[in-house]
Amino acid sequence: MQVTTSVARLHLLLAIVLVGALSAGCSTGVDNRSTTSNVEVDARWQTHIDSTVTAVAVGSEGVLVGGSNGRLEMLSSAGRSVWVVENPGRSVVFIRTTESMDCSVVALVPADGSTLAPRVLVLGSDGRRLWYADAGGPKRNVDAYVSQDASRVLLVQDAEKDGQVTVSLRDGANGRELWHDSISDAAAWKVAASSSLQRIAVGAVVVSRDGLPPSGELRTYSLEGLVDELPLESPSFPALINSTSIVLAALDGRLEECAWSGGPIGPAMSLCSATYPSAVDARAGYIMVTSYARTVEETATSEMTRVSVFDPARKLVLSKERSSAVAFTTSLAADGSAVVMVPDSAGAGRGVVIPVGTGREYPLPSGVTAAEAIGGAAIVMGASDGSVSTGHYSQ
Amino acid sequence: MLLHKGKSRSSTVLFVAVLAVAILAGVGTAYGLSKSPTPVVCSEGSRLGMTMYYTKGSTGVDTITQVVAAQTGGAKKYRRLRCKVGDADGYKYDNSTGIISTTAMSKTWSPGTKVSHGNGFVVVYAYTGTSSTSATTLIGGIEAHTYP
Repeated sequence: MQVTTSVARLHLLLAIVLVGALSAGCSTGVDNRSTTSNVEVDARWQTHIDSTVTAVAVGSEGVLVGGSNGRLEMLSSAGRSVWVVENPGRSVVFIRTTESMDCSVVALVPADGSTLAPRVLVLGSDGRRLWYADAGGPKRNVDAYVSQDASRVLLVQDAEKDGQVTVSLRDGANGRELWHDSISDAAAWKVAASSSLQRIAVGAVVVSRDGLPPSGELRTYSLEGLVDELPLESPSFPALINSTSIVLAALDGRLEECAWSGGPIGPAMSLCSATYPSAVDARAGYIMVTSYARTVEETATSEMTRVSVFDPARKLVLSKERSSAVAFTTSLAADGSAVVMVPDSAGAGRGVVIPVGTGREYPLPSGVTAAEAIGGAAIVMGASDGSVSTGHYSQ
Repeated sequence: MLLHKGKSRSSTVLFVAVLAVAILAGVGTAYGLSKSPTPVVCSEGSRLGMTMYYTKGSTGVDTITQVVAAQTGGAKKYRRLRCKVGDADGYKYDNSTGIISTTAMSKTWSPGTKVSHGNGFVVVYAYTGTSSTSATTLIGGIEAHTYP
């Protein structure tokens, strides 16, 4: 979880909108997508990714775009290509960058049919590869965060041994390991971290060896290493961290705020329709909880994606459910004002952006495969044809 | 005297045998084994379904966190349900709702499920691999039988 500065993003957006308006004035082409979407497209860049856009990250210097062919391209706020990095045989899954974009972490998974392990790639501001780390083998999960000053990178990944997760803090410049920790019997895990990485929490679903229901484990870390190890009766994922507490989303359907020492603060809140949380995220004090379900019936299989958003006062302000043939990846706007839902497969329906205040759904242009809402009712979108554009919607 | 002793032994054997049958019958009833379970075809209009709740991994490796099996649209409910994932058994059955759930199904799971249905039972298995057709390794499943 990276806390981002929306002011810088808004500056970027203004630059993008200005350039977009100018280029639209000079253009003779018609952007059909703006006529079929409730999200108005401000500008459109044709990148040279030549593949589906799978990830976008926005910072003060522009937009970093990743594709299913492993290509990474940095676009300036004027839409010009600044640098390109190729990663053949791999696909970009997510990008996290500092506000100034002087350090970015990129997760890459092997292309179809490959047995390569997932990789975390760390890039400098000019696209130069600083270092990389591979997971323990194929079919492993990785997650990574970079501190705002770019000095530290947090790396959490499945180890070679099944059920073992390693947590390590690396030097941002060269990847040198500063400390590491291992969690055993972890079937699933999630990470939450402050923007400075001074406070880190990893929640794990710990599998029982004797067939009993799984329990939970929460480990907290500082820049110096392990702080505490807390057993949890019900598995929980950390959602939000501040200087005094951690908000946990439990698999039994509760949202609970706990002190760093582990005790609950205040009453637990029901997640209502967002039981069985699968993914948690927090921006600007807002918490988003997403749950996923796959239902198999005699003749059909369907996916359900359910998203709930709590405001800084822990009040439920949005609850939405979407059923389709595929799951939707969700993200929270930098200022917590909206949720973006994008279908996991290209061509499998349209995504939406939903302002939490109104709950109204604004369909994204068809073909959008990755998007990030950057606050101020603005959004950056990448599509299956490799194009990247900015847009806005009403709040 | 010998005859008397023999009668006594026969009575004892008979008593023990009757007692054993009674105990076995009682145990069998208690565990639902008093008659052979006969799977039945789902009644018209009812549907058997399995819902797997899962966590999406950041790089595409998902984990099943809960499985719910339910018969909807019909009056029949499951009488006996069994869940097994890998080497871990564990289930909870709510007789009033006919819903089975388990939280002991936390195994790495990649998208790709296979369902087979026939004669009153549904089996849903999760496989490793990118699809059910290319799957090679069974990592878990859920099996549900209905009984009359």
